[in-house]
Amino acid sequence: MKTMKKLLCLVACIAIIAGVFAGCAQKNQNEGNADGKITISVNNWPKDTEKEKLATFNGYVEKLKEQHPNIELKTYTSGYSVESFFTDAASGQLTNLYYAPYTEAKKIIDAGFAKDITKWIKEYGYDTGVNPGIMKILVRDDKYYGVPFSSYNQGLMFNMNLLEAAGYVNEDGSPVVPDTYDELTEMAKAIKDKTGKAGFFMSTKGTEGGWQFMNLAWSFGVTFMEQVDGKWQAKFDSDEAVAAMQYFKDWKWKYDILPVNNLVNRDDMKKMFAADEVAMAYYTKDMVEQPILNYGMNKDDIGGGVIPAGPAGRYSQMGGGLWLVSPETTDEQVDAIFKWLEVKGDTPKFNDSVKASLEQSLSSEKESGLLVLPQPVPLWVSEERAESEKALYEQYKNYNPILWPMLNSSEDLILKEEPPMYAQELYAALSAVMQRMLTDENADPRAEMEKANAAFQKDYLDKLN
Amino acid sequence: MKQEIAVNTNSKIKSSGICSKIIKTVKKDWAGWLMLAPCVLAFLIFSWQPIVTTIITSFYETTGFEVGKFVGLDNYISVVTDSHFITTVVNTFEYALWSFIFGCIPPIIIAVFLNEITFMKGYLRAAVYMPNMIPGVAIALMWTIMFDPSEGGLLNMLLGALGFETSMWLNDPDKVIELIVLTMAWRGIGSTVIIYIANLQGVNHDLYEAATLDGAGIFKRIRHVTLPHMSGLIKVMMLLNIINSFKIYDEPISMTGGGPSYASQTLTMLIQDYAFTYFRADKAAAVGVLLALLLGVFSIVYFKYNMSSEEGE
Amino acid sequence: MFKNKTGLINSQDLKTKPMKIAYIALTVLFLLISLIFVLPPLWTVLSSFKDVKEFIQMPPTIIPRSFHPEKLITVWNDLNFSKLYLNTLVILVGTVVVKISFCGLAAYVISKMKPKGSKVIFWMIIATMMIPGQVKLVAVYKNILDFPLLHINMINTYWPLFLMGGADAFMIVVYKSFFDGIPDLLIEAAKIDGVGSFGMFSKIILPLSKSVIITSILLTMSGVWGDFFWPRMILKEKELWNIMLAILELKDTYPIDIQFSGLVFAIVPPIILFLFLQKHIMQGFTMSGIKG
Repeated sequence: MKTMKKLLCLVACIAIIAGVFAGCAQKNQNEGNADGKITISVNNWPKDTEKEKLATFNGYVEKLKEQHPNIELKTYTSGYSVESFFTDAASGQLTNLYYAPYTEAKKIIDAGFAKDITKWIKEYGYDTGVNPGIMKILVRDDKYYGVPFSSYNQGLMFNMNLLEAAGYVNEDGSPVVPDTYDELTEMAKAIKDKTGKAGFFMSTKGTEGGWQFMNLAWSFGVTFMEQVDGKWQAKFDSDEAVAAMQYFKDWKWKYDILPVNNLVNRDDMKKMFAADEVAMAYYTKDMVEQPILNYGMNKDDIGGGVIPAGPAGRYSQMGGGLWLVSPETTDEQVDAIFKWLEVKGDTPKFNDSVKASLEQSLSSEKESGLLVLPQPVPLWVSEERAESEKALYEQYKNYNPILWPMLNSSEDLILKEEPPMYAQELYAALSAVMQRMLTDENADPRAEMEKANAAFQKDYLDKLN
Repeated sequence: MKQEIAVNTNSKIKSSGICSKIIKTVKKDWAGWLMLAPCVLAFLIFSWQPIVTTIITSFYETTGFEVGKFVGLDNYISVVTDSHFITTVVNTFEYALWSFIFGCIPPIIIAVFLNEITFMKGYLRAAVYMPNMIPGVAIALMWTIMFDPSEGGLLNMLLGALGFETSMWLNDPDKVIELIVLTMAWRGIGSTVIIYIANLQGVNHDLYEAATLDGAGIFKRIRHVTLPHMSGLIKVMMLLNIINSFKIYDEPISMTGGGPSYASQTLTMLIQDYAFTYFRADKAAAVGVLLALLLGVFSIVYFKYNMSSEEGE
Repeated sequence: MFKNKTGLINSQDLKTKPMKIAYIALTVLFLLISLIFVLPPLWTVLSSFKDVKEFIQMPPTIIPRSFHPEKLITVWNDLNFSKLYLNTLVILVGTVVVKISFCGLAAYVISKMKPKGSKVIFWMIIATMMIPGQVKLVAVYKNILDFPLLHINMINTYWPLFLMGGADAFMIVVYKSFFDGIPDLLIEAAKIDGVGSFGMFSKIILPLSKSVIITSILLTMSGVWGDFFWPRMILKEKELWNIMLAILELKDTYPIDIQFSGLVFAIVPPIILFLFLQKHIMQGFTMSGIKG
């Protein structure tokens, strides 16, 4: 009886708590604009320690004040962080304009954390002014949810010190670029034999492993999932997928070109690359910046080449940065945001003001000692802009063109975006298979891929159907 | 929002009778309840209400954090039938087992003897507590250098110098959990030791003296004087240690990301993945509630067992 | 040298030679064990004084080839440390005060006053430990943004950090187990002397509990000093930042060696505070009052 009473008491307490609090739905107070001022908050602002970039951004703010004196900016240095994004978003604490990488766009839009800004996208000409291959990341049911502002495709990056030590530098000082994965393997093996350092690096930890595996798998002709009669089916138990995984496994056990540590991500890579522990890796823009900024690498010790081709072609995943608008933002604020983007230069329009902004940005990048590399994937459609950008990049370039054959376009390169459904979950599943391949010499790629494929179908895709 | 209103009215009906009862209880011991109030309020805002929200969420479908339609036990079924759920649960128990071995007994031994050492005692205490005062980023870097499986890893260099074979450390699925728990024990031992040492100040030294006069040796004194004094606290600290070991996530995330191939994945990492990587608040809540149920059952059994063993003494 | 030692190992034991040797061996053993706790982290942090190439090289150099303590000056000049220390200290003091007054008081009530219903509260407090923090994160954050019933937004204030310290089940359990050890007789005696409910806590219990209070301060200190998750969520304005947030801000923009040398500024103050406070753990319980 006594326990019953206690239990009842407990239930009552919980019920009261729920009752008291349930009524308080939170409201979002928008900042008052009695004096006609519109305040917008923006994140991804340069930090105090990024002096050159900060100066440039402060210049943009001055320009904004001149052109639109009623718009005020509130700036935050925070970027996209896996740990805090969901909490911020779910609590309505995102800045009005916020940054996210390409890979996060789909789940952010699905979760309703981005405002539908179709009206302004059309008004300001983004719908026709942005490379449609990139813009489609931000479209859902003919509605637009954001704006891309930078783009790159993955390639190969070289540690020139190690390439030189192994004799893979041409007479003119340019790196030998492996054209196919077989050539890459051969080259990595030679580097490993001569220098004892890892020839090639691939992430395996968390979701990064699967994300990098995409490049390899696509070039083997893998399609990860398909819609058959309206139902999604996982397809990575195919012969092509098994072959790709077998290829990856051989890197460890047959050729031994990967780092000894089997649990690594890109943070490890940046460090190892700068410490001359790794000769080659997949290139993404931040991967070039951080070895220089954080690990004191000389910018001319880095070279870049086009991604290798596999049996089914040459595929590379796109990447870059996006601006999204928080759902709490008012229409007035959205309009202000688009005006701000125009001032900053993230716009399809092209005029003297945009040109000046772009120039400022490039010169500050150069001054802070970073590599100023042209954007290899054209983001804006405008011919005029592309031409003018090219000229500007030429003016401010500080890279040694010999080291960057990647920037010469490759005819057969096919750019791809993420798999359509549950990309992050797929990456995690593939990472686990990759880890299995590396830690167990006797692991069977076919069995493991079949297992992962079936689990992915059952855990995720079947729940869609 | 509809279901919240339902809960609201429901609770009002249920609580109307009990409400007066509670008021009566509080009135009787108003001073005590007044002193409890700040803490109760803090718990309401930062614990109880969020927990109730979590439990409610686990029965609904969510978009972002917006509660959608009621789905009953669907989230639970979906989470439990996930292909890797069982592995994760088994791992979690393994973490708890190793935490018990590495994290429960050593602090007691260290505390009892450290309390007796007079030479450089300030330093010694600070030393044991030192890992607690070093920021997590530095500790994480330390372990990457230590556990690097190549020949250049610090521990492998040590093994090599001593003539042993090098180890794959965290890359080894059979060792990964033990190693992670060991690093956590290394870091956490200081705070447990400090609590025990504070507790040991309460031992009446006359008892030691009397025992010495009776001819009891040091270990006998520990058994008959020291341990009985500490036993209440030890029981509580052990339970807390085990509860915490079920909730491990920081270390595996930074050290292995749950790998190799799920070998170090824990239930809390699953929550982290569902909520922050996949944006599925509903499923994260369901795993959270399941973990709480698991811990609840475990704690009840633990207390029942300890109560009966106390009575038996 | 061991003349007046009382306790588990007392001067009586240490009269014989083998015991003396054993005791010295024990001390040496503990000195050796202490190295396991001190050397690796110390080495890691001090490694940051190497030049960056040496800092990241594998295998690492155990004895550094290069030594650049001037990195500390770089960090010092770039961060406003007086402000950061002040902020961190404010957070620490506020949290400690809330912990002692909220958790200590509650534990006292639950342990000694035991009003009807307090047991239920205690079990509800224990139960909160079962739910992992991540699942309730969003709900907690929403309460911070909109304080229930009062509708106060506590973002960009230290209040949520203080108050969160008050909902600490672990502290309550620790306090309670200490208060359980205080003889009820003592309280009964004080009651007869006419000490009221509040006076009992401040005049009788607190002075007796110096060791547990110091312990809780030490535990709170290491928790608060290195914490950055909640501060990052709550303190969006730079002027309010604590030291860890400022150091984390260096990430991505500063060379890694300088980031890590900045950690020295975060490590030294708590260690000094610890050395200063730990002496007081010894005092408190062995007072004449208890024996009588």
